[in-house]
Amino acid sequence: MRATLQATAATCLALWAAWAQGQTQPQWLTDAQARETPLPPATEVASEDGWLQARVPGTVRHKVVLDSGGYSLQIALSADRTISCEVLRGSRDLAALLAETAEISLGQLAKTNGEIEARVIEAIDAGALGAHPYMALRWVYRARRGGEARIGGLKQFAADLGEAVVYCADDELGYVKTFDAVARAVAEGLRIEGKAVDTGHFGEISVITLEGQRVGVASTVLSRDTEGDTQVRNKGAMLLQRTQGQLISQDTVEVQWVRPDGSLINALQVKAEQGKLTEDVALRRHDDGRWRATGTLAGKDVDFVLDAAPSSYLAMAQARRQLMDRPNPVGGSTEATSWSSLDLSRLLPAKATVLAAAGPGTFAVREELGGVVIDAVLDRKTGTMASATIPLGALNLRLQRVHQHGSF
Amino acid sequence: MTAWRTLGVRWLLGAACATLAQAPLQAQVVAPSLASIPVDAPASAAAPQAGEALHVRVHVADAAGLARLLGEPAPDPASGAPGASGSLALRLRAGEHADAGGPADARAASFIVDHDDAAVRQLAESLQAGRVQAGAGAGSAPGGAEIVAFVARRMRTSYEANASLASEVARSLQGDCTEFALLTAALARALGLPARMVQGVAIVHAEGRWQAYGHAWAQTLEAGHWTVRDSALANFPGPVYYMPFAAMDDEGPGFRLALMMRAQGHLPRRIEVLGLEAPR
Repeated sequence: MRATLQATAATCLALWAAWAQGQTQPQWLTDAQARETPLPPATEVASEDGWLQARVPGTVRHKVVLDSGGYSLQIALSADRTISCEVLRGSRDLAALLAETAEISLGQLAKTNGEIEARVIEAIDAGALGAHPYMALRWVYRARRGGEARIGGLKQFAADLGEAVVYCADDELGYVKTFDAVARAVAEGLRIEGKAVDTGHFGEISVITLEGQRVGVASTVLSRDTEGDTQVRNKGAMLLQRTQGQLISQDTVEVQWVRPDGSLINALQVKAEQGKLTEDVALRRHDDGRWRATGTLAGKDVDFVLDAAPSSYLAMAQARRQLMDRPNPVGGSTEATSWSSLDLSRLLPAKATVLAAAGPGTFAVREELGGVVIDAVLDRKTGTMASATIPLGALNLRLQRVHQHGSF
Repeated sequence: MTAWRTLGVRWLLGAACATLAQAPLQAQVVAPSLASIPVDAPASAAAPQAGEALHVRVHVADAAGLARLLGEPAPDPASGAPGASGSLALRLRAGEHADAGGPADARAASFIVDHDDAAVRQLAESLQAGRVQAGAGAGSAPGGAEIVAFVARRMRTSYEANASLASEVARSLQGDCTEFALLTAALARALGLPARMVQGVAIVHAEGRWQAYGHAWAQTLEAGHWTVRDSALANFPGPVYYMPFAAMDDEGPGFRLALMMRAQGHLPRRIEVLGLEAPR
């Protein structure tokens, strides 16, 4: 990723052998981590080919040109503070992007500062930036050269705008809020070919937490084509620190095309783990009338014949809305068949049972999918999940909607 | 609505088992809420001696279901109605566990234990060639212990790997407990030894305290008994107590669903160490 990933080493790296010996954090490090820079006035920036326009805090003094699928923006906040961003054309897997670029950036930093002997992820963040999902990471590392220990930092931010991905990175210790504000401003102010980024006629974003810690983000975007069919695009990104300083990533994309009557036209399930494609299976009805799922699963060619048509996302949401619109929905349920990543070789029974009113316009619902049970809160207006909890032993995986726009 | 379905359960469980192998080697265990199962043990709880059984109480969502899986008579009276959250008292012997079942055919190649793949067959041939070179008869089959030693020797521990198939593991030769177990089961089957995968919990005494982790291992059928074959912990210095929560009876493309269902009911929320019992 060119400039960002080839970023020069941290200029503020400081000697601190004590940290290596596990002593209390010194005041200078606390101070370095707390420092911020006032944001300068925003300026307009545009690529030479006219594809992107953005409004960024600070100044971009170089020409913005397309190179290897992206546009580099070196955003000068002051004479000695620059933050690197890139606008990448098309879609990217957020989790894999952050995990892979972290390795490249830390590798570059090691060339300048010495071998990185320890690294820690201080924070994983995930959420909604307007109608777009984002993830962010903050690292601290210790490098050693010639017997001297040096402490450095790396901050990363990636937002998925559908038509483009904004990626920003900064290798200075501290400036956490400054970096966050600049990265968000670039993503929020981006226009592509003179237009605001398309967000579809309906969208939702949920944050995924594990034991209260943000580990991922899931989004749904609905958009219609000229024939009135709806494309449903569900995307998910998760990052887990499996061992200290080592991330594992998972990115998923589920696409459905749905007719105006709610029936499914076709569907696609794609999953990448550690940036490697592990699932790429398409479902469609063949000329003989049978629904077949074909593609690759864990590197194997698969061809599954399903015994019926699965329910679409829209049909399932609409059935839930109708259920919750009943005068007394408590105790009522709705059933469907789902084609899920949990088992792509067959249809799974999906059942939602209303347990109680949960609040204004929401109901507590027991969702069952092929024997797996989830406690969910459904939004009566959309028929979709406002929140969900999946208990797994001592762990609780939770989904919490943080953004919703439009209707369907 | 469908977002949660994309979440990788195997991934989470895999992450849970990842630190077991390193826990005794390094003081740090990252993200303990993810990696480990909370263990309550009296401060006086000592390290186990050889042959001692471990008496524990496991707290799970479906105590009755776990009792059925492990062939236990009934959950603790305090656990309430069948299917309700509760607890189950268990007496665990090191290196073995109750028969939790498995696939209908423990010799056949399956979607995940694909020992008919060239990479697995090649490794099996390599194992056999090494035995013959060491003096074993050309027609003799290896025992489970030899397969474990081979896998432990050839595999590299990696917490980033996340293979679903034995053939992937045979090519990469890296992974955590799940990958070790997959390859162990596949090699055993390739060499004619019935084998199955087990998901569960390993309880160990390390760094002066009792610890429990989600874990995966294999079992081989030898002399009429299903025997624990744990390549990931082959070199662990102390006794390992195993509690299965899911036999991998579904080795097809839907194995993740089967695993998630079992994990929801049977993965312990907490384990109480009640004490050690001297060998009978």
